[in-house]
Order: sequence, then structure tokens, then C-alpha cells
Amino acid sequence: MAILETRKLEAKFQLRDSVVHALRGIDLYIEEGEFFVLLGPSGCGKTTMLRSIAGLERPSAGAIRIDGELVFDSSSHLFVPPNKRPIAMVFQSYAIWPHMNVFENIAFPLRRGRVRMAENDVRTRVSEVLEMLGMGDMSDRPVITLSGGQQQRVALARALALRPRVLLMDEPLSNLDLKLQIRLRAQMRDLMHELRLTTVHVTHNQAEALETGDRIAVMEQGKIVQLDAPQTIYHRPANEFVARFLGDMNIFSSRFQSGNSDGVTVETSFGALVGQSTSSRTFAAGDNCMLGIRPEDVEIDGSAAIDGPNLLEGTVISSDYVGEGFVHTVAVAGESIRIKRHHKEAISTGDTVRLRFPPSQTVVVTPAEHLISEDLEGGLAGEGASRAG
Amino acid sequence: MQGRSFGIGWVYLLAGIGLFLVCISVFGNVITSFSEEGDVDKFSLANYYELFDQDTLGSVTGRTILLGFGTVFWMFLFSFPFAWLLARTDFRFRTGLFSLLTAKLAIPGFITAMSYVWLFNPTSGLVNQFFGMTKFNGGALFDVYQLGWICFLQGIVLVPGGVFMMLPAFRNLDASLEEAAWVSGVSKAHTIRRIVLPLLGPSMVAVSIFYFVIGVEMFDFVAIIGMPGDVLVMWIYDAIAESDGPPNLGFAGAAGVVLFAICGGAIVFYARFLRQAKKYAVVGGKVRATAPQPLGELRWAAYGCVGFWLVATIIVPVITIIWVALVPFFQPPSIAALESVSLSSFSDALEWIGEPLKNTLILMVGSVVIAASLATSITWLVTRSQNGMAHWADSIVFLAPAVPTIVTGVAFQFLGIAIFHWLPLFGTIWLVAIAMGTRMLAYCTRTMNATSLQIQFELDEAAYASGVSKLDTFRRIFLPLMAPAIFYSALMVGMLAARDLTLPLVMNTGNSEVVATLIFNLQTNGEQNAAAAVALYMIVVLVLLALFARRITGMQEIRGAEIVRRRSFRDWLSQLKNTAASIANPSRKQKHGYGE
Repeated sequence: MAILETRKLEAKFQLRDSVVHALRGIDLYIEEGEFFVLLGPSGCGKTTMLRSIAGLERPSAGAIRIDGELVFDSSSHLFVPPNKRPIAMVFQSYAIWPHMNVFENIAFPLRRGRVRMAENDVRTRVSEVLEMLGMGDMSDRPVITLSGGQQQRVALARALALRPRVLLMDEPLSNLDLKLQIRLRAQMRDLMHELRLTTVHVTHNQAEALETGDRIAVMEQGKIVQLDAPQTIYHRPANEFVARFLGDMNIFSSRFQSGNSDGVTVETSFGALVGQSTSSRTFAAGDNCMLGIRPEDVEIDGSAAIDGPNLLEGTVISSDYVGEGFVHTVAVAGESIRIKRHHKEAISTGDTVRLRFPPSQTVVVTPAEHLISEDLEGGLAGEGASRAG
Repeated sequence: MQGRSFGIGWVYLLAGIGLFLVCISVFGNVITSFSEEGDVDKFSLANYYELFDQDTLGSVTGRTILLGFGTVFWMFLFSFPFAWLLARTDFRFRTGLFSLLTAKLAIPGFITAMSYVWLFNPTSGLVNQFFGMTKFNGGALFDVYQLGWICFLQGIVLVPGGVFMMLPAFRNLDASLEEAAWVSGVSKAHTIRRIVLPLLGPSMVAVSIFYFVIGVEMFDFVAIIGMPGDVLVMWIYDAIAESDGPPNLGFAGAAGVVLFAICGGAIVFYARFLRQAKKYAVVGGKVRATAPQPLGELRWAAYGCVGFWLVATIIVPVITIIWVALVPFFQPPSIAALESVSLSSFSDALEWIGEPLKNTLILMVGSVVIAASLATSITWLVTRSQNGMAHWADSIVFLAPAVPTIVTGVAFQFLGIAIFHWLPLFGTIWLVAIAMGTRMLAYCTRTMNATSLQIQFELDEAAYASGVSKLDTFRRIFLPLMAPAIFYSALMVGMLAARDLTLPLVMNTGNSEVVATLIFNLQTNGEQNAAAAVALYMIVVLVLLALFARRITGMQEIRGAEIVRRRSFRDWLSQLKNTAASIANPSRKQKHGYGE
């Protein structure tokens, strides 16, 4: 049974002269112990979604069920306030209470919260979580003297101490420096799995999502556009938006020709190419579609001759060092193709090279309905509304 | 149960009471203006007929407005340079100037007014006497009984408030905006004219309008200097303190409505400029401060400006009062006068002061409790409850400063009469305390709202999301974080309540004399010597209170040191607790922490 379930969740915000539709009928089923990630650009509705689950925001329609109990149902006007829901939440700003020390921050919800524990149990529980997070010696520290990473851990400890049925995390790592983010991601995922704690994690950082999530829901404009395991999301994006949003991808508009169980053939400006359709939609001949391939998947003709379908020929127009490797840009039939390599290839600007798009790594997806820039604009208004509301 | 158990209902209830009281002070006066001769059951337009029958209504209203402009002129003349000196320059005595501005708050306006009357009154002013030039022998050298003098005096005593209101605007001005102009090759003078002034403009206009309202409604100077022709506050006072017959609250109410209209109109403009000023506020709150600009030769002008203000508002009044308190009868300095100097007035004053002092303490404590508790609840309602009423509550409180103090007095007197059968508060100091608390409510709410808005909303949400109820969150998260602001507001309210003359004077029916009215009455009865002694006592106590307030809260002089301030207050509180504990039980070890 799903531990967290939402049904046709809608959220609208009235701005001065417009309505922002932050959630458009979201259905979710999250299993016990799952690390679930809501991923999307700012303003896609992911934070509104999380805050609705927490009860900090009131959706305009739909229903939410946590651990078998209805906590929100628009048809029966049921709304359980946040302090009565079996959840805990880690905030983007950590929201550590500055007038309390580390111990008090964690103990306060245990003493005054949903389940009021005896003083002895509070102490045991607090030292337990502090030990678990490697902060056993910091119990008396005033929180304002802690570093960002330590504050983040206090926020996490406060949430874990409650032993919630569902842990909600709103971009908990986004205020930390990159190295720390990367270290904490893995730690966080392992910890939640160890505790078998159901976690809903909101982030706009795709690397974080891919690394931590058991499943990822990619959101765009208040809708879930793809819900899958990280590998599937990365390698089998359902549409152009997901393909562009996660990682880097070469994308070319194309026209559908034919398809069978082995793959589909599309017509591009480089000629007919073969790929895998990852779209949920079935294409008919002549439909507009998009062909995509990751820069690291494009093969370059070295000394060994490459053969098979999807062979192209073009001119190298630049080779740039980007820190972790090299990006070569090759012009083919007026389009440029980016190719990523860890080591420098023996090619230089002006060379003519042969490229190959391996059909298994080449995807054919539905074109995005809107431009991404528009998407972000609408999104920012939504974000503002969700914060203000 | 829509997420709000009765627990938090208490806070809503307190906020509701607060808003009700504010409504009385805003609208009570309008109701009063329709009552015939202050009767609570006869209503008509009679007071307005009477008011508009007065030939002088036009000229009095004109003079009132002139008084407002004159006050703002003098206030601005000193406040603007002072704020600039404090915020942007390397002026050597910045800390000193800041302390002086704080100390000035401890000298009530009416005492300053009194000292100037003693000095420059045309018939017996000490200066005029000293030079032998009074009205009786060939024309006075100085005549304080002029509108110009009232404007000047009101202006200079309002300087500290003006500076404190202007400072944030100066400090929030992002240095990089100016630097961006300089590095683009724009001259310094041009930068100031085209970048700095336009950015400061809206806030400065807003401050000016706010002080226009205060200039118009201020009663201290008009009450003491009084003579130079009527202004509206004087009409209101005269109607209440009619020498023959009972107070005419109805007519006072009608005149109050005219005054309220002037102030209300100004407040509407004030709101508009405030909004515009906010538009320029730097988003994100991280403002880089400018390096203090060297004053160079301008520093002599700065010394002159500060020096003049210091002499006019602090040194002259204080020395005058000390002199008058020391000499047995009112006389200018001379050898004979010096020989008659004695301290007897100070010991005599102790005999007068008992009852008024008790009343003053009741007034202080009462208004502090009312203002602090109700304002805290209103602040929570407005800034944190996310309740639909918040917007209305905010608007009502915002309107409150538009109600002149004297008009508040009239409204609450009328309320006192209206409810006398059920609650005999009329004529007692308690009614004055309620009116005073309500009057201060708006001030407190403004200070507290500003602090509350700086406290991240997620701190509350974190508590709700970890299962803590709204009331517990209010008590354990909101109140502790607000404590410094509440404490500071409470101290300020206590100080302002102690020094206020207007409300106790307007609402005094004989049983509610406070120290301020005692001084006023002594002065009016020609007992300058006693008045001066009591005034000195008052100043000393107020200075101590002001220094205490400053020490506790550190005021806002430490730039961006929000956390430091909270910490130090916490430390101070815990120290206090520890000291108290060790006094109560010296052998007991101090409890420390939880986790060990």
C-alpha cells in the first residue's frame, strides 16, 4: 500500500490580476521506504506540492492520504493542520530556531509536538540522532555558531528525531557549497535507506536527483511529465523538456518515418537516422518529433573505421577544454553537434570527421509544447505565489 | 477544527481587543462630534453648526497647517544633516551625537517649552529682564509668544525622532549604486544629485509628512506658550477645559474631526511615499555599506550645526531649569540672586510629588502592559497568522497615528462617560492608561512588525511541521525571538507615557494628576521654582530610563548586528536569571544545559 498518496491535486494562487495554476491534477503513489524525488525548474510546482503534503499550503482541489489517513480532501472540506500530520520537514533555509541550542532545537518538537515524550526519552532520542549524524559533542552549542553544513545536519536531526512516517525535504542542500553537497547527497540517501524512511525530496538539481532518488518525478508547469527510475529518466526521457532539463543533450527536430520493435526511423537534416522512441505517444508517419543524443554517447571516427547506420560526416569547428574533459563541436549540414570526451581526441579545428549515433543511445521524443524560457517565466511567478501564500 | 484550536484563540482575542481600542481612538471622536454638548444619548449636527459659525475657523485651520510646515522645516534643517553625518561620513563625534539624540528623548517637550517661556517671555523672561528690556519698559527684546517660535521649538525637539526615522533609508542605500556612477565617470556632485537624492527622496518626503502630522497635533508647546493665536489643538483644549461650565466634548469632537481630516489626508500621502520608498529598497537585504566619506573643511559646518542644536535643545533648557529651581523666586542671574541660591525647592517638591508619582507609575505600567501585549498580538495577526483579516488590521493600525493625541483623549473621555454606569473608569488614571496604551499601540506595532518581518517565516513552519501547535509556536518561537523588540518597545512606551502631558491634561478631572500635569499646573499657577524642581527630578529619571533602554538593546547603531543584539540580550537575561537564582539560593549549583 502506498504510504503517501495524492489524488487529482490542484493548486491555484490568485495574484493581483492573474491566477497561477501551480498544480494541475497530480496523482502520486509513494511506497514505504522509498526515496522519492520531485525534480523541476523553479516554479514548476514542486515546492507547492511538498508544502501541500506538509499542510503548510492548502490545495484548491484533490485529496492527500498519508499512512492510510486522509489529511486533505476537498470534497469533504477536510484539512488536517500540519502539526497533526505524521510528517517531518527539512527546510531550504534549515529554519533552525536561533534562540535555542542544538539540543533544544531537536528536543522542542519532542516535548511540545504531536507525541509528547517523557523528559528521559527526549534525552535518549536526541543523543541518538546526534550520534547517528556524528554531532554527539555539539549538543550544547548555540546554533548560530554552527557552519552551514552543521546547521543542515541539525535540521535533519530535528526531523529524524520525530520518526515521521514521511520525511519531506525542500532543497535541503542548495545552500551548501558544491563539494559538501556531493558528499551529503550520498550520506543522506544511505541514511534514509538504512532507516527505511519514506522521503520526498524536492530539488531543482538534476545531479542530486539522479544520485539520490529511487524514483524521480519530473515536473513542468504543475504537471508530472515523467515518473521513473533515475536511469530511465536520464537515458529514456519521455519528451524534449525532460531531455533538455536533465543533463546535456544534442537535440534536432525531425519527422517520423517508420518504426518497429527494434527502433524507429526519423528524417533529419542529416538524412534518415535510427533511434529508440522513448515517448509515451505513438507517432504516425510525418509527425514532428525530436531526435536526441547525449554528447558523451556520440562516437567519433578514430583510426578504426566505424560502420553501420547513423553515420554522419562534418567539420570540427571548435575543441574546448571544460575542466572535466573536452567538448568538440562538429558542424553537420548546418547544425552543430556537441561531443564530450574525457581525453583529447586527435582532431583539430577544420578537420573533417565521421560521427556515429549508436541507435541504442539515440532517442526520439515528443517535442516540447512551450519554449523553456517561457516556462521559466511562468514558473517564477508561481514560485513567488507559493512563497507568498 | 480548521487548524486553529482554541489555544491560539487567545492571541486573536487580544489582537481583537487591541483593534477595538484603536477603532475607538480613530472613530470614537467622530461619534463624539455628533453628541450634543457631550451627552451620550443626544446626537445632532449642532456641534458642526457651531464650528462653522466661527469666523476664525479658516484662519485657525490655516495657522494649524502653517504650524505643521514650520515644524517640518526646522526638523528637516537639522535631521537631514545629522542623519547624513551619522550614516555616511567620518564625523568624529558620531557616537556622541547618537547618545545626545537619545538623551534628548528624556527631556519632555513641555519642559523645553516651559524653559523657553521663562527665558523669552516678553513681560518677565529672564533674558529680557537681564537686559532690562521687557514689555513694561520700552518693548521686549524677545517675544516667545509667536507662531514662529513654536515652529522652531517643535522642530528642534523633534530632531531625534526624525534622525532615527531617516537613518534606515541612508543605511539601506547600496554603496555600489553610487560607486557604479563614479566608475562610469559621473562626478561626485552629479552622483549625489542624480542617484543619491532621487533614491532618498521618497523616504525623506515620507518622514516629512509624518512629522507634519506630529507638528500639527503636538500640544506641549501650544499648551505652554499658547497665546499666539489659536490653532486647532488649542480650540479642542479650550472646549474641554472651559473655565465656566462642564467640558464641551461635542464641540471638541467636531474641531477634532477637522484636525483628524488634515492629519488623515497627510497620512494617505505618507502611505503613498512610503510605498515608493520601499520600491527602491534593495531586494535581498544585503547592502554593502559605503566607506565613510571624509568631511574635510565641511566638518566645521557640522560642528556648528550640531553645536547649535545641542545648545538650543539641551543646554539652554536644562541650565534654565536648574537656575529657576535654585533661586527662591523668579529672577535673572545677579550677585544677589547667586547669594539666595538654595536647594529647598528640591526637598519641598518631595511633598508635592507623592500622589502624582503614584499615578504616573500606574499610567506607565498600565500603558506598557496594554500596549505591549496587544501590539504583540496584533503583530502576530498581521505578519504571521496568514489570516484574511491581517490586511484590515494592518490598515486600521496604520491609520492610528493620524489621530491626534488630543483627539484620542476626547474619544476616550466620551467612552468613559458612555460606559460609566457599567464601568466607572471616567476620571480615573486607569482610563488615561487605556487611552495612552492605545495611543502607543500603533507605535509598538510598527516597531514589532518590522522585527517580525525579519524573522524567517520558516521558523514557524518548521515548528508546525514538527507537530507543534500554533499557541506553543507563538509562545516558544515567536515570543522569544521577538523579546528584544517587545522589551524595547515596552521601555519606550514607559518613557513616553511618563513624559506625556497631553492625555493626562485633557483627561484630568482632578483625581488623576500625574507628574507632567503637576509641573504644568505649578507653572500655570506661577510657581516656577517648584515646577523646575519637579521637572529636574523627572528629567533625571527619564535619562536613566533612556540610558537603560539603550544599554539593553544596543539600539540600532550597530549596523546589521541583528544576531549580536539577540545574543547579547539573551546573555543579559540569562545572567539576570542566574544572579536572581544565586541570590535566592546561593548554595544551589547553577543548572546548565540538558544533554549531560
